[in-house]
Parts: sequence; structure tokens; C-alpha cells
Amino acid sequence: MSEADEINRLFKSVDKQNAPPTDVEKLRQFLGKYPLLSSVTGDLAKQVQQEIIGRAYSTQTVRALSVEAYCQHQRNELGFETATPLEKSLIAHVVLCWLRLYVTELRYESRMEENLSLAQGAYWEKKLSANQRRYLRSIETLARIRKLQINLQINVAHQQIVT
Amino acid sequence: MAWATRGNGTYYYRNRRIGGKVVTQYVGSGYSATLMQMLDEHERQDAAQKRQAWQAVKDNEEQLDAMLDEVTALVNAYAGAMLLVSGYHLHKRQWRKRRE
Repeated sequence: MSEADEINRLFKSVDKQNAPPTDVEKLRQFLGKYPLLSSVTGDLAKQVQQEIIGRAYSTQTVRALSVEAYCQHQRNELGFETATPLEKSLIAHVVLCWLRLYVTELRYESRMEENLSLAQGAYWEKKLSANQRRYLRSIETLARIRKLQINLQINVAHQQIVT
Repeated sequence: MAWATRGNGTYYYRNRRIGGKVVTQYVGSGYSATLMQMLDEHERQDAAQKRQAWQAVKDNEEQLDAMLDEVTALVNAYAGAMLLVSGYHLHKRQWRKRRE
């Protein structure tokens, strides 16, 4: 099993009730080994953001740039610069969920001007609700982590890393 | 939709599904029937194009959602892992500090 597969397995294993303590300990070691794991999730979030903007505004460069700038503004508003690495991942996720919701709303609106069938209308309503739920959950997770003030301190070669 | 030969004449018929049954409807013969057949063909192509376009829209939406699901799963697992190693545990979908 490669290291990436092992991390995936550990993530799945600890992401449930009564996680095995051995897996928790292994994951603690992994987090210590890769304190910049948050940047991986951040990079992935950024890639998906580019994909969503690229598909939504493929022919409207100015709008694409302004939406991208607004995403950056939202990240800053949520305190991205001073956040812990975990919070940075969560902030990037919140902004991503907002973007997905915003694009879905725009698409639904533009489709409503055409003649939507009942099935198509139901499809868009379902998409909209799912994206609203996802956005709210992402905000809740960020709020919860902030409330609990989760910081993991690891000493690697006499250097303290806060992740 | 089809042309059918009855006796010496060729006639154009439409097949429609009404209430779960296929009903054959007589349209006509000659030039007017040929015109009706062309209109039907146009309508059918138009409907197929609309179906394809709608499928493309849905595929695009599903792809974006799948990408976002991947990020969501990763971020949630990361947050959950950090909570667990920081001494919290999940109790009835709520994170609680483990007692010392």
C-alpha cells in the first residue's frame, strides 16, 4: 500500500465514531510528517474553483476575473491570512461551496427564461437545495473548528510546528 | 411514423403512445402527407437536439459536483482527523472533548 493510500485509509478510518486508537496515533504521526497537508487540500480547492469559473464563464473573461477576485476577497474577509492551516483549508472550502451555489443560482435563473419542463425545474431545485446545504455545512464546520480552537502542536527536529 | 401501402395507394401514418398504448393515426397521402412527414422529422430532430443539450448540461453539473464532493470529503476528513488527534471524539454527530 502506498503512503497516499495509507493516508486515505486512515482518513476514512478516523472519520467515524469510535475510531481505532492505533489509526488515530498513526494519523497523528502522518500529520506531523506532513504539516503542509492543508496546502494540498487548499490546492485542490483552488483547482476546482478554477474549473467552476472556467466552465461558467468560458467566454466572459472579465466576469471570470471579477468572480475570482471576489473569491479572494471572501477568503480575506474570513481571515485567511492569519488562520491556522486547518482553518485555511476550511475557508477555501467555504468559498468554493459559495461559488458552486452562486453559479448554480445563475444557471437556474438563466434557464428559467427558457421553457423549462417540470422535470428540469425539479432537477434545478434539487441542485440548488443540495448546494445550499453543502454551503451551510461548510460554514458550520469552520465555525465549530474556530470555537474549539483546534491547533495541533508537533515537534519535528526541535522545531515546533502548529498545524 | 411510417408510410404504408394499402391497395394501390401509399399513406402516411403517425404512431403515438397514448395512455400506455401505441395508437396509429392516419395523416394522409400525396404531397400534403410528404410535407407532414418532413415536419414530423424536423420536430423529432429538434427534440433529440434538446435532449442532447439537456444531457450535456446535466453531465456538466454532475462533474462539478463530483469534484466538489472530493474536496469536501478530503477537508472533512482532515478536520475530523485534527479533532480526533486533539482529544475530541464524535458523540451522536457532535464533537466532544474526551474526559481526562
